[in-house]
Amino acid sequence: MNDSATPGRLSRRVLAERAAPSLLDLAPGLMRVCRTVEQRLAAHGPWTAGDPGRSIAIEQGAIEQFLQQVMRARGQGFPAVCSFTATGGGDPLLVAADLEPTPAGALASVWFPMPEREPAGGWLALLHDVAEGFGAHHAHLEADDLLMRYQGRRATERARAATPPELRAYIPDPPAFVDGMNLDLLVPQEYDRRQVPAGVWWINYWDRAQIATLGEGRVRGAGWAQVVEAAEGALLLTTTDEPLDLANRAHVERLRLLIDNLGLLDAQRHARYESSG
Amino acid sequence: MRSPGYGLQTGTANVWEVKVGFGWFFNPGSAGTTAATLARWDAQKNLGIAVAASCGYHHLWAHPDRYVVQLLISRWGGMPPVVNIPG
Repeated sequence: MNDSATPGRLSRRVLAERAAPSLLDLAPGLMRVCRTVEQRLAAHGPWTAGDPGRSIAIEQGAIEQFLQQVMRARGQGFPAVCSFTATGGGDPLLVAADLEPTPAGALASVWFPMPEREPAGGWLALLHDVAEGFGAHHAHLEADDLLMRYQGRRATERARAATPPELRAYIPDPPAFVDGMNLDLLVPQEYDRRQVPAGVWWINYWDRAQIATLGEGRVRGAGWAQVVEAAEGALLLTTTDEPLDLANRAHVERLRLLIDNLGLLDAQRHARYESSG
Repeated sequence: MRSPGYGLQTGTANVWEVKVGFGWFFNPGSAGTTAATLARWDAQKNLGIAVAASCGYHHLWAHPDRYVVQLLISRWGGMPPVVNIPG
């Protein structure tokens, strides 16, 4: 294990993001994501929505009605959860969505845990379907260990700066990584991630705008294991042929090389919000 | 009162979300429950930030598990701060 502090404690997710002014705008995309989950991960209904779950049909009208309930509850001060759970398989599979205000406008996300079993058609096909079904500008296969490598140090700095001095000692140091390689990036809350990707993950979906920010030639020539064309100028970019493993030094070196070749940290700094501190 | 050089309210102006338990959080067999819990915490975090901000308060989370704290700090970009206070 690369991270000596967190052996066996990590999880992986499929995550997609898009701009959306309201949760209600997400109904068609969420319907398509849930159907993708059914088709590629053999997750079965009956579906429930929310927490605690109530039975729901994965149809646009029913999802819109649920999203309205979530918005109404939140407007009344209740932290209603926007999630859908396929309860009919062996393990229930949860698809969660939310909306985050940013200085560049609200961004919606959808995510669900990556199961152990490979999806029908493979991970790249799954990410493609989720990204295009959700109407995403960005999607990736997220792993907690890599998330903490990219964001842990900067996020801890921000947390300490925002914590009263008498409590700062209770903010733990970020995990230590035994290979000593620096993969530090900014945290996505600091810059316009509609324009700049938050990191390089095992498989990535970047839309035309994100590619243009970094430079199309620079993106294509950065040193990917695989580059696949998607609709409307988007690209599916694979870092390594086999699943990314941070215990494998060659994989970490590949990530370092890609980040450097893309100029990713500089691009994030360039797209930084003035108020991000 | 205000902390010198800090600029945010402290003392009674801190609004806490305190979690206890969750020792199972990273268990391989708990992936579904872990995902549901993360989704619930994300929603609580978003509402907590909005409510605290509208009231001029400072929002903080506390959790007894160091690894969960490290994950939440990374996942949320450090906002709100999550402190580790072992149970």
